Amino acid sequence: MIDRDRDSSKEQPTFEPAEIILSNLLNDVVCDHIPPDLTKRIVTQFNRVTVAESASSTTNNPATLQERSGSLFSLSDYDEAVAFAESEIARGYGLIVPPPVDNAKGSYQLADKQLSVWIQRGKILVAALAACVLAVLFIPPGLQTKPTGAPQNKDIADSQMDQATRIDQTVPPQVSSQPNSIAETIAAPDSNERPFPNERQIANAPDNRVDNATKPQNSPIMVASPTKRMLDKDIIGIIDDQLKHLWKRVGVTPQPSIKSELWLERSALAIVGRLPTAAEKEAFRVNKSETRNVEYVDKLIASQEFSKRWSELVSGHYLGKRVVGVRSQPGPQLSFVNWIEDSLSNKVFVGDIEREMISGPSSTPVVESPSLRTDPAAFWLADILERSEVDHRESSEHLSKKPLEQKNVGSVAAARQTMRIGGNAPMVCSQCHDGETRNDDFNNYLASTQTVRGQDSFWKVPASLSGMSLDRRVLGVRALKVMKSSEYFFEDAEGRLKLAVAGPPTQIIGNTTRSTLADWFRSSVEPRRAMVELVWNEVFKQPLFPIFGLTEEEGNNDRADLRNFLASQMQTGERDLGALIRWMVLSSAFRVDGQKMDSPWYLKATAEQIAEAQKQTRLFASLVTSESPTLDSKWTSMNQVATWVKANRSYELNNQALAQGAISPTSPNSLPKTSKPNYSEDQVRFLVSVSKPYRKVSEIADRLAASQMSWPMLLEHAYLVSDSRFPTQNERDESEKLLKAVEQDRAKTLVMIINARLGSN
Amino acid sequence: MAKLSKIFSDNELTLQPVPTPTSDVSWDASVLITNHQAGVWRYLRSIGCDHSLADDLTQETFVAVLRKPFVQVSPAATSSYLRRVAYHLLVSFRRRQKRVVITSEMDQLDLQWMRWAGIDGDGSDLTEALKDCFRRLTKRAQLSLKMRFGENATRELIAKELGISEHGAKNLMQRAKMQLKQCLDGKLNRD
Repeated sequence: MIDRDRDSSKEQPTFEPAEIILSNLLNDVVCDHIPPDLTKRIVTQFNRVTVAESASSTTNNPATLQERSGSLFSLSDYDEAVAFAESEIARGYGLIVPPPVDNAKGSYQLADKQLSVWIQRGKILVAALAACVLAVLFIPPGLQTKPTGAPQNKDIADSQMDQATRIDQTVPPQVSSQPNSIAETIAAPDSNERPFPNERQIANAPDNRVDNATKPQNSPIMVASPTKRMLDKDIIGIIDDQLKHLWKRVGVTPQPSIKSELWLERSALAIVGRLPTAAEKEAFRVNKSETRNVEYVDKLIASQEFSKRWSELVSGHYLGKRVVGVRSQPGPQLSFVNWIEDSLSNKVFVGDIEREMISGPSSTPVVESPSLRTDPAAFWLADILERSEVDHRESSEHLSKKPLEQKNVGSVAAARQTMRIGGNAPMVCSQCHDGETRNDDFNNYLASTQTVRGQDSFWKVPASLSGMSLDRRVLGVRALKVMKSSEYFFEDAEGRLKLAVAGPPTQIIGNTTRSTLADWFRSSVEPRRAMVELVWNEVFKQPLFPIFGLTEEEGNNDRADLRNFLASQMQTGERDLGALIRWMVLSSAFRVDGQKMDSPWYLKATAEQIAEAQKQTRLFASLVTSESPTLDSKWTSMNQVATWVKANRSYELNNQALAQGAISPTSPNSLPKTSKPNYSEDQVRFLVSVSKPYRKVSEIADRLAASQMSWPMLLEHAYLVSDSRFPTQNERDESEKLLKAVEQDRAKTLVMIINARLGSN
Repeated sequence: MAKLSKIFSDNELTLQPVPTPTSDVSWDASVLITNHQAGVWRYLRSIGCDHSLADDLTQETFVAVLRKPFVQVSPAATSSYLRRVAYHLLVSFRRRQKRVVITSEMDQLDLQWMRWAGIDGDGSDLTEALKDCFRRLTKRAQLSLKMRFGENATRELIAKELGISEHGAKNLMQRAKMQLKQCLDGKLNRD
């Protein structure tokens, strides 16, 4: 009904309010529909509600009000709607019509002609405040009453204020306490007008950026105020509520809660990467206080093990590579990880870490020998540039055409990495592009490496591009040459990050462009989103926001809301990483059981059951953890399975027979050879993966590559074996490119991928 | 509240000005309903409610508003206030239906409504303007839109009726809607 022509979403990807309203009105116009007279209905319903309300108040049972009156809404719904509306009207909403946003100039760029409107609003505001002051000063206390229509209790007032911050974020905030003052009072010009908010302030306001589609909405988060610092227990409650909301909406029943001992193990694995010691278990057992879970988690987070484990993960996140066995790494990397570790153990706000990392070296580094640098900022950039150069040299042997990388491989790599840790904020590259049309290759390149999913895109592709640098230099392929340019990243007046000409750290010390970027990392909520995604992935073993494998309904805004909420809370409260992990580990969602997908279950399961189990996992209704018992099969090696499958391939076998084979593998040939095996690909993958009898990576790869599975299935299997998870969209895309690079040699590609995940030893 | 319930008892529409407890500004509930119900209804229709839902939510909007003391500050403020109550009730309703409500999009709809219908408008001007604009379209464009929005005809059927391709029908309707939008902007834009 909203828009009949929107059934073809591919044709109209953008939201056009005018067109939607037009379509809806057209229906009434062509059918000559006119508004009905509802007066009698309204009066009747009002009487019903009033009677039901008084009856409820006498019986103290407000829950039955809705049933008694037959109303669509409860009293609290009425109160909430009225309170929100009053709040908005008090702020001046609806009394001045803002002009249409000029999309071509960015969603938060104000038109010049709005200046006069703002000045007028400022005048009204000052007059309203003056009226309030006068009222407070001169009206006797006994005669002072609440403003008409004001909320009747504190809760409503609080929720009203919360909602006021949520709703209408496209309209600049108006402050007033008297609804009637705004409409009626026009005061003389005052020199103390409210300052006109500049574009930067609006652009930098949390949740006021272009990512409107991912703003909190339609969920328990909607009730909360993401921009207000909340207590830990409230945040944890919202995580629970949000996931319950998600499960309820998509009709998924979560697994029951696990026992304390299992939770103990799970928490320790998530926080410090190991199982709890006997002493820890015993201490937890004898602790009978109600807060023992919290105490346990806090103790783990305060430990050095925590900062060690997470410093490696966070370092990997910043550098864009896996940091393992860091103690045997070169000195600069070790220094970098140590610096992260110190920051984590000192509970430094993540934004401060990122600002320091990106802002540039604090002292002049030795450019000629980047590996000798010890400054984290210098190392961060130098490492990305050097690795990109090496990667480029290696990959260029396989790729026939890579014009972009040949020009500025270092810049692109640094841009990609900065975008990644920046929460995939929209950025533009002015390195070698000077016009809209010529940026397609860059955007396509970025798009091909990341998840792109409609309006909620993980990337903002294509990024808006403007103001290209015209004096770029022709850069060579060597990293040091790349580093000889002058500028780097900066945020333009419209709040977009720009990649300017890449340059060496020595030349951008004190340069406002790089420090501006660093300040943006400190002040924006978007980099926090990337951190939330990282931590969630580590704790829950499933990505939070990328929704591959789920339907649109299952993967819609609920997950983005949760990510944004947690990121906002991190940013608002300037919370450290430990706080974020604490919220997740102490949530009820972290206590849901893993599914017992042992061999008999897997082999008896139908395709629908398997799909349901996978869906549950991706919706966090079932947690993937290493303690999940999945090795009940009696098969002791894959050779056994392969022999048995080969022997029975030509016969009509069903899943039950295969399960029986698992129970008595020593006599597989004695099974009834009556049916053709019809086990699914999932079951075969399971059989191949559970036992892990392989001694070498190449063995896994060869076996996988020899199967008839499609490449995406093979890839999924490789990641299940290496990481116990499914690959991300980015990893899928990268693997496709890798596959092409090695001329469709699936085994070789798998070896490379698994080696990259597990290490080559 | 007690006074109001007496006034509205037995479905008698004997509405009288009721002094609110906090102000001496009087207001007439029947006038409020009479003057604003069409505006609320059209607003709800325009942002995507079907007829039945628009009826229900209009009714519930006034019930919600009448439950509380009310001061009419200005027609514009009242009109905006009622629209916002209706808006929030719609959000609650859809939330309960487990439907996704993208408030930013609904806000845009709300703003667009205000641009076309005006702050204190009840949408009648908008409807009249749209009718006038519609009459200025070519006959073929009118027919296509009538089939599409009046009879819920498929694009295929419209194309067949007009003797053009399906793609042509789509383009025709898109052009017609664009013309309507420009016409409305010209007639009603209040920026």
